[in-house]
Order: sequence, then structure tokens, then C-alpha cells
Amino acid sequence: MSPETPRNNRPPPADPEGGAAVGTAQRRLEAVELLDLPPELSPWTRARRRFMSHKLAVLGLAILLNMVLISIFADFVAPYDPTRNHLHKLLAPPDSLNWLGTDRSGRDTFSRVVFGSRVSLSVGVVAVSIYLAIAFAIGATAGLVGGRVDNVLMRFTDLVMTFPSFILIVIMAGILGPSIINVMVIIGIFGWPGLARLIRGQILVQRELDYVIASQALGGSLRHIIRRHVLPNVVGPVSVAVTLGVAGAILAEAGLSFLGLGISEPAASWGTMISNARGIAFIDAAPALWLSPGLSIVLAVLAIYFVGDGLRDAFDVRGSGSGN
Amino acid sequence: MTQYITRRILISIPLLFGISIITFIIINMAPGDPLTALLDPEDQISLSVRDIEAMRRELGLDRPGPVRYVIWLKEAVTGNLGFSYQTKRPVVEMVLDKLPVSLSLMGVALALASSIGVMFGVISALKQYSVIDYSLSVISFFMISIPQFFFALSGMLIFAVWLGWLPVFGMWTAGEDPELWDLARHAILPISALMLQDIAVYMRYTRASMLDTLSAEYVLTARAKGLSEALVLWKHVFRNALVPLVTILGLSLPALIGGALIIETIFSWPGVGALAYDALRQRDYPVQMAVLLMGATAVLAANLLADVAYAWVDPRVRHA
Repeated sequence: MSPETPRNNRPPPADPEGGAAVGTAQRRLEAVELLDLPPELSPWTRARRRFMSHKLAVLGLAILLNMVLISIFADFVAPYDPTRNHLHKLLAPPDSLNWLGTDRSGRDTFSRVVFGSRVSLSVGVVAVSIYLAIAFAIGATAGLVGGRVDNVLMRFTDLVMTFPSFILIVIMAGILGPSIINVMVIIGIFGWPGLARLIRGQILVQRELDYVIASQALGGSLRHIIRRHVLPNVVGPVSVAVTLGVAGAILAEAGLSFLGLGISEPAASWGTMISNARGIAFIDAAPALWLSPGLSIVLAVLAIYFVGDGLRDAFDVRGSGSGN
Repeated sequence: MTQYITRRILISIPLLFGISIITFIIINMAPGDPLTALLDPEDQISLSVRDIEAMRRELGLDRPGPVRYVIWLKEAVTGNLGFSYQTKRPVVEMVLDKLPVSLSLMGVALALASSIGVMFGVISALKQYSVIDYSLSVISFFMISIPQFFFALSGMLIFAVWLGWLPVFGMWTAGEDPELWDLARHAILPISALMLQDIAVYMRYTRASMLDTLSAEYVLTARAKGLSEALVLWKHVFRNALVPLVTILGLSLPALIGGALIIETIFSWPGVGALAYDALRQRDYPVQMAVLLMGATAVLAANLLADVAYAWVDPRVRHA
């Protein structure tokens, strides 16, 4: 840790937008030279440096970026159409044409794993975007308005948290029927409570901090305070929680699809692929069929957790995030 | 203390109502007639359409949602959560039948996971930044990244199919006298899969809590006055670091219940999880609702219990 933590919360000195800030920035620069302190880095630069020094996080980010690229360009990466049945070649072992063999409908396992990344990553991102929006609306309202509104919203959050979320998700998926949109929405609708609590807590802490009170005393409007002081400091913990949330959503989708309630055939989802390969005859008859999507899930989730850990270091976040 | 418990219970009552309201809303989203779910199927056969219409009016099923909720709640309080579409038995009875089997599985998993997790968390914190600490943290990342069902299938492949050391699924070997050893052999794989994530969670919380306590000033004081390191750890660090972990009990229960659904299904372990999975496949909504309602109530109760236990050990909590 660097010894410069007390100055964490200052705005970046060289503000690229707004010429009015130049005067104060210059004065601050002089003060820095006068006191012989190391040159002040913007919080973002410091965060980036700390992230880059976290080896596992950089590794995770590299893996994740590769997966994102693979899922975007799946049509070019996959050697075959993931839904095409090669009927002369059912349940084939891995060979030079089908690198991971074929499933019982003669579909190329490698191509399906490649396309499966598209399902997993998009479910993760969309589901978490949905619950980030809900969490932000509820958490920020509770934290900023306070009083009775806060009380009601937080009791409601407690209530949703009381339900075993996977059971709730599974039942809703059963009622609404399997489809990728339903999976995204259902995971999104029930995932927000931890994040809402986190956002509210952060806002409550920020409200009491000296520089916010100072800004208020100087006549800063609520809008100004939120944009200039509160939001930048909430970004750290929220980004950590969101990252872990994406991993959680990917695991939830995999579990849901494994139970046959998530993404249905013939679309390729890692959970569905494992589910199809289940049954004791398949377990050792064609291990590549379920080991490859399974290891893909592990790799994706692990990479995301590493990135989350790096962000936690980068933004100096304590505690365990959303608790999900 | 009594005052604290009373206050905590009073806070839980509105939550209990909330649980029932949400469950009721979900029941009503499910396709199907609530009347057929509520009536004993024996009676249904002998009733004419007109009788059923009359009964619908009498029960208030033609009335608006909130009124129906009150009627449903009255039945629920007396223990009638409806009848299974499939077996035609009262769903409460079906769940209670399977409960001991699930509780034993989950209880052992939770007990093992918390002791293993706390142990490694303590080691990790005492050896902070060492190779052991670093390896344990990487291992814990793997533990939370492996889907339980994938871990279960891999365990099955290695230990049951390839090595043949453990049975593939079920709770007992068919045709043999039930023996404890037989049960334990069947339980090893499901319990391992079930506790995987919890070990990591307990480990991380323990490590953080230990590090917090180790840097506390009273620990410095204890060392300064010349206490042996063992005494400092036992009397000052462990007590203060490990007590807050009680609260994770309530927090880890929802994931454990969700995990039981998948694990019991994979290993054909005849508990509530497997019952819920069958109900999902057969669209047996009354059973699903009973599981949801009872699961949420269990989490609420566990949170209450954990809070009370915490307050009992730590007086600062109950006077806050």
C-alpha cells in the first residue's frame, strides 16, 4: 500500500474539461511541489496501476477478453454449425475433424462449446445489468431519501433476501418456460438485494464524510455532490460486486440449464450440454462431452473472480461485496 | 436479553407475512385452478360443476386478489398448503416426510464446511502473505468457481466409475441391511459437493475477521504485557474473531438449500431437494410452493437464531 491514502478522495488535478478548474489545479500543483510530496496521480491511474500489479487479475482479464472475443466471433472460430447433425458420426470420440468429438445427435462438441460462451457471457452481462438497475434505483433512493422510505425499501430488500434465490429462480423458470430471455430476466429480478444494500450503505457512508459536508457548506447542489463526490467513490465497491454478480449469474444459468429449465435445445449452453451428457453410460463413455463445457464454466467464472479480486485491490474495497 | 429477543421476533413477523405474500403471488402466476389444488381429491370426484361453482363463491375464489390471499393464509396457518397434483397427498406431509433425510445431509455438510473453513481461515490469517496463505486463497477461488453439479459428476466419474471406491448414487445399497457405514459411503460424494462453496466462504470470512482482530489494540496490549502467543490467540484473538462468524450461518443457508436441490437430484438422494425437482418436472405447483414457503421460513428462522446467538455471546450487540 502506498502512503498516500489520505488523499484518495481528491478530484484529479488535471481536469481535461472546464477551463475554470485550471487555476486551482495550478495552485495545487505548487502546493505539492512546496511540500515535496510525490506527484499526485488521479485515482483512476492509481487504481489501474494497482490492478495491473495483481498477476492473477491480469491473467483473469486476459482469459476473459479472449472469451469475449470468441463469443463475439463464434461464427468464425467454430469449425461447424453448432446445431447441425452429422448423422454418420454419432457420439464420436475426439479426432482430427471433431476435436472434442460429437454428441448423440452428431453435433460437433467443440463448436457447441464455442457458441456456449455466447450464451453464458450474455446471460451474465444482461442479468446483472437488469439487477444493477433495480439495485441502483432501490439502494440510491433508500440512501438519499432516508427516513420512512429507506425503512420500507430495506425491509423489502430483507424480504427478498430471505428466499433461497436458486429455488425461486428455478420455480419462476418452470412457470415462465425455458428461453434465454426468461433466464436473463428471472436471474436479474431476484439478484439485486445484496447490491441494493451495498449501494445504500456506501451512500450513507459518503453522506457523512467531511469533504461532502464541506461541499454542502460551500453551497454545492445535491446534483453536484452526487456526481462529483458520491458516485466516483461508489464505483469501486459496486464494480467489485457487479463482477462477482456476473460470475454468480453464469453459475445460476448453468445450474438452471443443467436442470433442464434454462436454455433449451438445440441452442448450445454449457449447462444444457452437461445435462444432455448425464446418465451413467455417458459419464465415462464420452467424458469430453461434459468435461469440456464444465471446464469452460470453471474457467470463465474463475477468470471473472480473479478480475473481481483485482478490482477489490485496485479500489481498496474492504468486506466481501454483495454477499451473494 | 429477553428484550432483544422479543424485538428481533417482532421484526420477523412482518417478514413472515411478506414471505407468504410473495409465495401467494407466485402461486397465482402458475397455470391451473387454485380450487383443485386446495380440495381433497376424494371430495372432488363426487362434486358436480354447480357444487364446485358454489364452493368457489363460498371460498371467495371469485373475489379480488387481496381477499383470496387472506383466505389462503388462513388455510396455510392451519397447515393446509394444498394437495399434490401428482400424489394427491397433502404437500406439507410430503415435505415433512422428506425433511429429515435432507436435514441430515445439509447439517453434516454445514458442520464439516464450517469447521474445515474456519480451520484453514485461521491458518491463512496466522501465516498472512505466506505460500500457504496464497495457495489457500487460490484454492478457495477454485472452490467457488466450480458448479456443484460439475464437481459432483467429476467425483462420480473418478471415485465411483473409475476407481469403484464409492457407490454411484442412492442412500443405501439395495437389498442389504441398512448399516451406518453403508450410509456414510453413499453420503461422501453428495456432502463433498454440497460443502465445497461453503468451505471457501467460511475460509474467507474467517481470514478477514482474524486479520481484523489481530491488528486490534487490545491484542497489542496483551502481547505488550508479556502473554505467551498461545494465550494471546486463545483468550483474545479467537474469541473475538470467531464469534461474528455465527451470522454466516443464516447467510449460507439459502445457497445450501439451492445446492441440495441439484445435489440430491444428481445422487438420487431421497430428500426435499429431489422432491422439489420431481415437482418441477411434473409441474406440481403446490409442492413447489410448499418448498419455497418452508425454505424461506427456514432461512428467516436461521437468521433469527444466528442473531440471538450472536447477541447472547456479545453483549455489545444487544445493547446497540
